Amino acid sequence: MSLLEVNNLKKIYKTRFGGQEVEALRDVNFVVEEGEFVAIMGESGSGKTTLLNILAALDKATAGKVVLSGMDLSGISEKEIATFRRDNLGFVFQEFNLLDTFSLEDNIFLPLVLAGNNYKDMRDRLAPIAEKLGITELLKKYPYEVSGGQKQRAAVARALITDPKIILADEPTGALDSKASDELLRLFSEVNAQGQTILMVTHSAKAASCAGRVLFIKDGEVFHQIYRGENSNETFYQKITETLTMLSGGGNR
Amino acid sequence: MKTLFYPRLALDGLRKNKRMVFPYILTCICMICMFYILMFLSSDKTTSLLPRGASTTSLIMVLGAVVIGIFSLIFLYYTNSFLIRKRAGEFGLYNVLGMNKGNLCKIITFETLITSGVSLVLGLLAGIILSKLAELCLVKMMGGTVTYNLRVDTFYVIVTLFFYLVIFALIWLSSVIKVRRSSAVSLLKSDKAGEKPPKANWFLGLLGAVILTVAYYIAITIDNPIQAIFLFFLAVVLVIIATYLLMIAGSVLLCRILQKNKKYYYDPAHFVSVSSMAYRMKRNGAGLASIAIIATMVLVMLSSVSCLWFGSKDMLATRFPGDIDYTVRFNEGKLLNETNMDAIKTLIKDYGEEHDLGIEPVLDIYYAEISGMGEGNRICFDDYAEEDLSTVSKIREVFLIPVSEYNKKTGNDITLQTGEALAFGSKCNMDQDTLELVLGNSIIILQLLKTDAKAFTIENSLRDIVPEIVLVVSDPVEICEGLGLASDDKYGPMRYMWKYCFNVDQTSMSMMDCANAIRRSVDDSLESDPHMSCNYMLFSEERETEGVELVSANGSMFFIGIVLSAVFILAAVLIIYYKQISEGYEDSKRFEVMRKVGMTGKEIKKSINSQLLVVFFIPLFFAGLHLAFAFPMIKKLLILFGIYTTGLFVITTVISFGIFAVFYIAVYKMTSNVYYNIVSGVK
Repeated sequence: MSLLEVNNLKKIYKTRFGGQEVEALRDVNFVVEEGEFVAIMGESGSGKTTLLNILAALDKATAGKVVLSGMDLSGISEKEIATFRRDNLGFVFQEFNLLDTFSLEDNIFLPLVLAGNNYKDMRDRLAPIAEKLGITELLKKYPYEVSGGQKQRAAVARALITDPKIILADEPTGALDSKASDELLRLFSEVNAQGQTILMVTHSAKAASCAGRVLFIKDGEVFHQIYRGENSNETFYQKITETLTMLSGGGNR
Repeated sequence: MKTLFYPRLALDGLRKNKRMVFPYILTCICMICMFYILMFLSSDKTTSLLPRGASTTSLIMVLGAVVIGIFSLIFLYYTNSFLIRKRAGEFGLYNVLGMNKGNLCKIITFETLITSGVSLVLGLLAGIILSKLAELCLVKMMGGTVTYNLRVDTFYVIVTLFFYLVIFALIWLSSVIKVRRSSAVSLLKSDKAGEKPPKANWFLGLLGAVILTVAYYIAITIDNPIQAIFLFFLAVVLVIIATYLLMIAGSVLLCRILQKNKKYYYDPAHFVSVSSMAYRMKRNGAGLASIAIIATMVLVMLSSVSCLWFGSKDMLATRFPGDIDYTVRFNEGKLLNETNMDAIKTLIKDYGEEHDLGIEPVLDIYYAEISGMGEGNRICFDDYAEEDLSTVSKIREVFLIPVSEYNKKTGNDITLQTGEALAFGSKCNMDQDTLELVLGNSIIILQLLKTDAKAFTIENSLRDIVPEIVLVVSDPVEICEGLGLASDDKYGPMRYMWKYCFNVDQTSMSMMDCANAIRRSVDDSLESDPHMSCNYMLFSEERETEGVELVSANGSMFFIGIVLSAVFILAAVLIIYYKQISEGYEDSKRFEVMRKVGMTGKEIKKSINSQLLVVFFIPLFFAGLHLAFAFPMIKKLLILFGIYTTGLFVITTVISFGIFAVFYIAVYKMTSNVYYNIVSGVK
């Protein structure tokens, strides 16, 4: 059985007074297997963020199903959804979304504290992750005092610490310079190599070229997908840009 | 069209920010209105309607207006700088879009013209209408005759107009300077700048706690009302400093200490609250301290002025035991005897019967009164410097009472030998075995007999201000003459006194005329007596005239206390309101992040709710605490005004606090709605 299944997903936004309808997702179908690193690409307005919001259970689909390790997201009650999100999903956002009232350490602990873990357990969990991400020295600092790349690494640590089934990343390199981006993508590959499933939304071909598979979304549908196979990052990058050119060409038809 | 561009932009700006601008204008209107009303009440035309105390009332009203004036300046300035800061982003945008600083200033000028124009017109209008109502209340309260025609005091309208124009001009100037000094980028970013984590400042936090302890210690250890006046202001200043220190530094320190306790901190119920609290207090500390101080001020004012007003009747009864009170002072000790007093009593009685006055004695007591300095078991009657604060606490008012008077008053049957005495001290301990009375080189030693008799005091207006010692002795005159004290010096330390107070049942003339008539008749009769003439003085006081003066002063204090409380409460409400708004905007972003990270809406709401609650009730808590510790001190001060009973002050304090708390909670309910609207609206 696959880890994540998305079947006939549809999302329609209505303006407040029921006037115009906007179709954000028309009919999205795909499957993510355990241990995969999948990138989702598409132009602005193609429905990437809508898709991710639905996967994250932050938004409800109009029709269709999202099943995560056998559980139907639409079947989870509003009350349990936050707990579900906390226990099964890890998030990495473009804007980091660290709380500036917490030190990096406390930001990383946040989901565990909410789950009721004790301090010793949390510390034991954090130590190897912080080591891997190279932020051990920064843990006592506040978001205000560190760089964007460091903030994003702390955010990754926060996503990893709950040992989630899948990590959802929304344009994780969007607010980083190229050096910090490369560093983050290297970390993602490393984490993935150790068996962590990652689903990343991006419009950077560079970022997508680190993934094992790239899905292209256009006009609310999965338009195309390519596998890395045995390709190196560089050749995969080539293939991705070619596909993107083809996609936008097709759009001009 | 082009000429209307800036006024229109200004009007638009005000309309867009109505959530913040409307309360500001409302406050301006209220302050202008109150200022005018107090000025109006101080005018001759109002005070002439009062039965008595016109000049006192007028003075108190002017003082009240001055307080409101100064407060308006500080408070409106503070509020306006908050508004400008909030709108810096807007001005920055205009700046980037091509407006220069001059254009921005033009907008600010038009905005100031609009807000001050509206405030002045509406404020004066409200003032003129409400001034009549205030006048009616004041006159009714003091028992004067009420007139119902509306009167506009042009002079004070102009004074108010001018005064507030100056204030608005100053505020305008400060806004213009602020905009001129800042760059476009800093304007754009000023409300989004990243925030440093608050540092725990051990020194300031502990300093606050220490200062507060000192202030409280001063307040509760004062037992001398005269010292209380001096130390009251010291304590007030200390409390204000301590409140600011504790709220700004102490609260952050407390949060940091809590964070050190891992077990407490990493608990879902405390985790988010404790760490956000440090930020919240850093931002709000000063505002909360201001609210706490304003609240304390209002509570102290309300409780004491209402105690004065409602205690006026008791005050009169203590101050004036009878309708007419005579005090006879004899120059020589040998005159202080029953025969002489009976002679005067008979003269008064005869006069009363002749004129059908229905005289009924209520107090009749004689004694020798001496002021001295007490130290250990000796009292020294040498001269002392009254100005020296350290000697003030040693002053003792000593009353020497013949044992016959004591037995008559208490119904006891005690006999005392020469050199023996019964001692009753109020506000000073009289447990020792002997008491030495000293003047220069002469010393008299009294053996103090142990007694379980009830405390004995003398009706006297100084009681509770200066510690009093009542000595019951076989013969007071013998002791005074033995020491070499004489009563002939008008303001000397020793006086042979006889107090004779009585009620009168007559309505044909004023009490003052009645008292004077009796006194003249007594004086005339005694003039022919060779022993008495020129050797005694007869003072009279009567309750009717002098009492009204006292009551009217208390009445104006009460009135002004209510008005000032209203103004201060209004200011506190506005601070709270702005605090909620600015917190709402900041929290809405945090709210969103927490939701994404996996907190349920319920958890977030609970956490924010508990923080709001704590932040909101800290000022009320501090106000209550300050009030509780100020209580003994204010009680002492009230004694100076003639309020001796504690019960009434306890009641007025509790009621004032109760009313204020209810009002405060109501404000909380209303403003937290605004807060939730902002938080959920942005989401």
